[in-house]
Amino acid sequence: MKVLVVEDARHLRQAIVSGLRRAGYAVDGAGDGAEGLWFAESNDYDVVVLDIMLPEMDGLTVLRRLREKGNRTHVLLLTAKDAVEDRVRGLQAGADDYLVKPFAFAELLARIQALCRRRYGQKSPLISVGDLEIDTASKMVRRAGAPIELKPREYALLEYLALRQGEVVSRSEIEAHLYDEQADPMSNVVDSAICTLRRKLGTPPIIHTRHGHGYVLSADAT
Amino acid sequence: MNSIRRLLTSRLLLAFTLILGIAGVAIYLLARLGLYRELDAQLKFKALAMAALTKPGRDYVDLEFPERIASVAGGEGVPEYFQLFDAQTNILAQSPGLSNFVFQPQFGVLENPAFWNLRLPDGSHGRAVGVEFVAKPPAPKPKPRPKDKEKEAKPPPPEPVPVRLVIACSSEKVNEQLQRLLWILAIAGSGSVAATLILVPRLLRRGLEPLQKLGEQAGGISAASLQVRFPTERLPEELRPIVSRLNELLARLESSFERERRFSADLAHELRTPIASLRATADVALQWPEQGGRESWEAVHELAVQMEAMSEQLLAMTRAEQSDWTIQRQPVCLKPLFNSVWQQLRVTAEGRRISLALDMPEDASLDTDVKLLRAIISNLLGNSVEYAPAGSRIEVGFHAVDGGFELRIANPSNNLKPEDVPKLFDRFWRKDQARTASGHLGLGLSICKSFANLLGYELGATLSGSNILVMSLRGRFSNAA
Repeated sequence: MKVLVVEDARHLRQAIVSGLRRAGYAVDGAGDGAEGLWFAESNDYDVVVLDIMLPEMDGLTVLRRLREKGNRTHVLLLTAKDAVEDRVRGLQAGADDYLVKPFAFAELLARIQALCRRRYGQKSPLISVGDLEIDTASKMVRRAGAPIELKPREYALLEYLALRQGEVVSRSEIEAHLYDEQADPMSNVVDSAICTLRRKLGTPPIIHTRHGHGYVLSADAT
Repeated sequence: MNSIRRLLTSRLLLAFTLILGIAGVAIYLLARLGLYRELDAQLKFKALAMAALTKPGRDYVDLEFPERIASVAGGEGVPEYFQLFDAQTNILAQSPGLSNFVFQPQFGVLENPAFWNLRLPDGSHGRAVGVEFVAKPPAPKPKPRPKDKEKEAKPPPPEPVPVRLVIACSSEKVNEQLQRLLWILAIAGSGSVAATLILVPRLLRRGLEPLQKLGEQAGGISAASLQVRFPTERLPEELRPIVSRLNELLARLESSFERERRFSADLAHELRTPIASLRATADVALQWPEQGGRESWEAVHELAVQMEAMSEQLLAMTRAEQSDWTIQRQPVCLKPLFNSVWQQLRVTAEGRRISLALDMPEDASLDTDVKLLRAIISNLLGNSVEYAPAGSRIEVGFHAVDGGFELRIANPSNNLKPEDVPKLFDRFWRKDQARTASGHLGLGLSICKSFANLLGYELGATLSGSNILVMSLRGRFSNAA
């Protein structure tokens, strides 16, 4: 999953970005509204965490601009403004969620997860593909009841494929959703991650290659 | 419980009862005096009449006393007595009812008789008058010339004889009248006191109603209802100044509470971002302890320093506003002070290509507190360096104005609008509300204004039509503020 964090308070932005990366998200950070808008328009994010009071361009303006251009990315407003009218204004501007500072990082993480699930029409935190079970809340993966240890990035890849189970997911889509600006676009990180994931998930193979198109996560071998 | 109404009621009742009592006693005494004077006048009149009718007889001891005087009695059943004495207080004549009774006489002259109260023979109260006079024979009547024989036989007229007369009469009627008056006064007085007891509290309640309403309204005022004002229409003249002052006080309190509320809200808002940063940093470090490192601690340290700076600025502002600051005045040369402050800002200023132009005499100086003035100048110049457009020039001027001085710091400003100028000195106001991480808390100008007030100066701001922001510090050269 790929998240954009637009927050002008440097330490807060760094903490959120660092925490989300450790949780397996691909994260980009922006320090002002204009930069945040540019990032949001240039990339396909699953969730945008957006502060309201931003230099250059305030968060609500960024949100309105995105919605005006048809961008449907889920936006979580993060702000020190806690009055009801502020929340209403934010939600009416097109936000999907609202979190007031200060907050528990676990809550932010849970809200981002919920927004990610909503994006792919998944309401339950439990995703099943054949005998494969993925608990998006506890980040636990089991196959035929046996737990499988995955690194955050591997888990993120599996979760993304599982959210789009049955669909062909291209390499570029995987790169766009799982790797942030720090990743080397010329590397074969996707291929190697898929390879590692296949090995850990065991047999029968559940990730199938569609040559020239991408990958499909499906219990059906065909 | 101390109550004006109760106090006034008790005092009014006491005063009214006292006045009523004094008036009653005065009426009684005057009536008694009048009645006794009337009685005395009657007795005197009778004494004078009897004295006029008392004549010495031919014999020294045999006085002529008219029969009708002897039958003097009080009219309408009022007993009346008399006793006639000679000079040695021997009884010469008396009323028939006084067989063995002897008055204890006191005597005065006819013009000024003696009066006294006494017990009459029948035991009743009485009043007596005593006079002493000389009973003179009547003047001889002119008669035709008598014959010689007759002339020789006619005896000489009797000699005047000194006598004393006491007339006494009953005073029971007077006493009865006085008794009746006493009853009337007592009943009227009691009625009046009773009426007062009923009326005074009611009248006072009605009279003090505006005061009571005022008290009830004042009692209903709390920190949440400071917008309430006392109505001044139909208010007694005595209460108007009080209510007017109360309304002014409420307005000041409301403004002060509103300012404090806004300040608390602003402060809470300002603290949210650094607290959120601290919490997020700590949460992430706790959740992934194996990946936490020096970066987290550096972030925590920076945030702590930022919050410390905020608390120090708030403390400085509070102290300045409470005048809890010892001002140490001394002559301060301005040019070296400006140069010293500019040295600290030079690196930032050069980075933004901002220059400083000082227009002031070499010996320009003020008798002031150097620490406070330096803090003001440092803040104003710091703001200019931070917010003036890159490549611009800060112009500082110092000159005499109306017996005082004006220190002006002017720089171009691209983003300020005229409506922003009045808000410049508000606490936590920033043109760009988002710059929470830049170290500017929006307290600097507010602190400068407080410091200027402490020094007895006035700090103001104006924005010219060509977007030149001028911060001016005005005051007297030697200000004993």
